Amino acid sequence: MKLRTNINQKCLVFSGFIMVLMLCAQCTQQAEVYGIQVSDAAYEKLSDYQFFAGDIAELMPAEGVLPYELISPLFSDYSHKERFVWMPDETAAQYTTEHVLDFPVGAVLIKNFYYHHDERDHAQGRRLIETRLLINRGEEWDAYGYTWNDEQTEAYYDVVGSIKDVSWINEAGEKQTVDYIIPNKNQCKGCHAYDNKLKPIGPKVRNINKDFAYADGSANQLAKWEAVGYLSGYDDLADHPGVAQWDNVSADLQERSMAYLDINCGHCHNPQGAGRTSGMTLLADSELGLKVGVYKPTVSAGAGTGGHSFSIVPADADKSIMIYRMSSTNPGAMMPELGRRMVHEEGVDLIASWINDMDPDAFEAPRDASLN
Amino acid sequence: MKKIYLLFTLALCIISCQTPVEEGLLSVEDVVATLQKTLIMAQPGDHIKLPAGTFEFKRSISLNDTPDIAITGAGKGKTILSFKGQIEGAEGILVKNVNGIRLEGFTVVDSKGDAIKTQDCKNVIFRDIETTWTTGKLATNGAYGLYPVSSTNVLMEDCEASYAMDAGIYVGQSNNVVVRNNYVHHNVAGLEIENTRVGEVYGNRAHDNTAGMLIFDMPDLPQLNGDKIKFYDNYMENNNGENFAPKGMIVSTLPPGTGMNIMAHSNIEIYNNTIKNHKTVGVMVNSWMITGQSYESEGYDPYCTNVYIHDNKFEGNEGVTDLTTDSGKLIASSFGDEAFDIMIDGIFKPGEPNSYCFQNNGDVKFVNLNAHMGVSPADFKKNASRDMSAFDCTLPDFDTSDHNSWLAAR
Repeated sequence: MKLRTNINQKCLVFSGFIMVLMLCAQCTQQAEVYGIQVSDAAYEKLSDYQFFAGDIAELMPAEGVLPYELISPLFSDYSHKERFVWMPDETAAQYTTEHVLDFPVGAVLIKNFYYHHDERDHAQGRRLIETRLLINRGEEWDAYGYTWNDEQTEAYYDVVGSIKDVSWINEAGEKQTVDYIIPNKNQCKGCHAYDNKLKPIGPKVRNINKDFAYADGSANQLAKWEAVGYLSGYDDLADHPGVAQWDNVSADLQERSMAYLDINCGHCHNPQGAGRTSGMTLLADSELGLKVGVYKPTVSAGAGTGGHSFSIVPADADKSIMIYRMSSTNPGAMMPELGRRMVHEEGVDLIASWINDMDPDAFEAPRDASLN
Repeated sequence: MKKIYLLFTLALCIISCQTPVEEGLLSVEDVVATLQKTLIMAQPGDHIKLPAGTFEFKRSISLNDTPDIAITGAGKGKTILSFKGQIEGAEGILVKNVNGIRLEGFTVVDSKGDAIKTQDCKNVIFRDIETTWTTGKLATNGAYGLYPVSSTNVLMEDCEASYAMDAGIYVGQSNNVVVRNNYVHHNVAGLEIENTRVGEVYGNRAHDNTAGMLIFDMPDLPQLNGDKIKFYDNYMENNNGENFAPKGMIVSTLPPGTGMNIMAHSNIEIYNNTIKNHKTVGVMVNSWMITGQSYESEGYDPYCTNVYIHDNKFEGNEGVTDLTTDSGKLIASSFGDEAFDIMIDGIFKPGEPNSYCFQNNGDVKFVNLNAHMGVSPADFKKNASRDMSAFDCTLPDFDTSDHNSWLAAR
């Protein structure tokens, strides 16, 4: 194990207990036992946390670091994401279907963003762009962004983010480029705010209730989390909710669409989120109607109306503000507001199909506005 | 020892005299590179000072959570934050969940969305701030210039807002607001108070907007039922500008030539204002019903109640009325080229048929559309009433002093 310069300090902070100086002599020893350590301040380098074993760019999880996937992930300019979770010894997340799992203090969610050089041939390698850590501090979570160097040997802490020129070959063999924006620390909260407290978005039961190909065999993620001691209150005989996989064409169109809106929009458009001032709620279990946008007039869409009157006009995607905003890359008009520079063509196609599939007779159409 | 100490002090003095750096002042070279980082790392009570100059940003600027922060410039028109080349962010500056924020003395131009938004904040001061779009009246301009929303205790004074494609100043879903001595021009709506409770709006000037000043209450929002707004000593002149809001925005239906519009809001006193030279209507008072749009929120009150308009000066509000909007055409085809000083839709809250009072406004041209009996030109021709005598009454005063103690402490 690599020696680190400020190991004593980290050890102190990590333990969080009344650790008197006389015990510090044992710190190095303790670090050996725990391996992974999280202090109350950000480390300068991603490698300092020791989440990954061996060549850090391989993202091989160290012991106690568990990979996971979401059934339907947020679109982030066609980047890929590798996610991991780590929790302090003897702690576990509490099962809940209300919101994201109740994670223990000290839990860390690790999300690595990367692009394959060529989507047709992953063997040509990949470029890691950034790694985001969410650390549960108790009162709220904190977000830390690490930017990978061009040599792909390390990622460094950066609160202000940056703009990266990224290019790759997509599955159709076309060269793609994007000014990929690494968000600043405030912007993390732009999406991750729940009642103005920073919280994770993805790891809800309904979004992780799926099988994952672990190194020691495939298993349901919830069952695996419980098996390794990362989940309590889980009843493996009970039914657990699960959203549809947005791009699974054999799944129900309504469910796929709501799963897509949930992960791409619901983090703001919920009754406690920043998008609540619009009056729209876009969660997987939202009832199809005004709150989802059907015949909903805009409040403050600004340039985002595209000249249309309603968020969703049943059976007419082209006249729906939702489609206009998803199809825009103008920062003053686009949705989501952050985290995207490109149009998610496949996502737009899904939501457009869903809107066009709606029965206009099932909703009460307003008469045209006649006098302001 | 003493000598050394003195020497040291002297040296310090010389060093500091040679490079006089004001505490908190960012250097001209550093503003673009360091402003965002400074705001992220800010400690409670920090005062961040911006030098004079024009600074170009590609990403929006944000401040979260840290209380008691002041961001001040060398004055509006002197410190200019330009977002002309912005590639990210739905506003120029976003302040969220901050208790104690003062924005003073700078200009924001050409943001891709709203210019300055404060959301979920408390004790908010906008002073001597300007927002504008330099490319003229375009539907692609940002919606709002100065935009406090879901905030409590808001003071906005001595600001200027122009060329917003919705409202230059927009105070939404807020409580305890004072909006005074601002100047709004060439917006679609000059100044708008929406779903807001307890406020005073006075000493403001609006010209060359599509509509000068609005008080709206909208359904299906977290804070419903705006209440208790006093509106006095404002000056609205020649708000006959084209409506360049994109269709779909509520304001896109406003006919050019509107001085004021009050919709669905309750407990409003409008007095000592000047409303002159509007080609369509001086003051319009209407319910949400007239929009023809549905709503879901059960607690929403779609009617205007207790609207007291008195001692205002109406002058020169004359046609040819607007023909560019549906609502303008409807008025024109019902009444020819005749403009009105006060127009009401006549859709009152059931059980409260007369909670509007209009007094001492001089010789006003008045019309009650009686729109509950129909909204076509034929209906209006048949049902409209020009008799204002039913509204010759007074309403009791209401208390808007909640902000006084807060303001006194500033």
